[in-house]
Amino acid sequence: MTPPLNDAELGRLFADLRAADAQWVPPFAAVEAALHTGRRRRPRVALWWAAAAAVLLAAAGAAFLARRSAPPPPSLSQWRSPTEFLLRSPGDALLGLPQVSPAPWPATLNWQ
Amino acid sequence: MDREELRRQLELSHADGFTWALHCCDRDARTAEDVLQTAYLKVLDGRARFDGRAAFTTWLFAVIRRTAAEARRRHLIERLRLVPLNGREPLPEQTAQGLQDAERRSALALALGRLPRRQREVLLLVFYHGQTVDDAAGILGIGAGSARRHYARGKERLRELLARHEALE
Repeated sequence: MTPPLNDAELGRLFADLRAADAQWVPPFAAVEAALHTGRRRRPRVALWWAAAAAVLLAAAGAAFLARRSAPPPPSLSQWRSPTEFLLRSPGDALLGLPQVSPAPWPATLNWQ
Repeated sequence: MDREELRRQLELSHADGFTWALHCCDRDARTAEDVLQTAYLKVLDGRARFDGRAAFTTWLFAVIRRTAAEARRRHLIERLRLVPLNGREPLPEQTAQGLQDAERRSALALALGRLPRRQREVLLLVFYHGQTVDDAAGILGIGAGSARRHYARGKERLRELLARHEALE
């Protein structure tokens, strides 16, 4: 079995790997040019976020306005059940309590 | 340091920066380019500020490493591809420099890939990039003692893996 590599041999192995990797280093000018293009592209991402935020705001605003313009709910004294008609029957007029007639004399009549 | 000087320093450190990015991205050349672009943007925009406490390359390595780690964490690697450089292919496993040399490089890359990340990073910084163990500690944001332990254990484990590979040949 071969003896383990010493530090110098390890160093040579790494140097060999480094030399092989060097050929794949992109030119600095190319990376720099891509930077400038990339920087112009960045605001597009921001624009998408701004557009999404605007749509959400518009939806929230529309929902708020829709709630405000809806008719107010009826008061309890005026409320009628939607199924109230089911309680009516043909003999209601005969079986129900008689209507109390208003007084036959004027309310402003002075007895004195 | 003004913008023009930063640009000049980046150009001087470019080859080292790329190969370090390559290792931070598990030898994926395209991702390494994206990470490098993002790191350069951070430097030129002032989001990463050089304070002169370490050598420029040492500081740049820390920025690149942080950028690669962010990309990994956020699973943004696919989205980080700002602009692909034309006509570049992923690294091939072997080159035409000779099958034996390529085999040795391949064995080393394979063995490095099997090391724990910290150990691999320390060994790459010291053996590949010629940094001291203390500088490596600064780049990785760990203590010097911890870096020395990773260095010693990493070397030991790397030798074992390379010997095992050689025995299998």
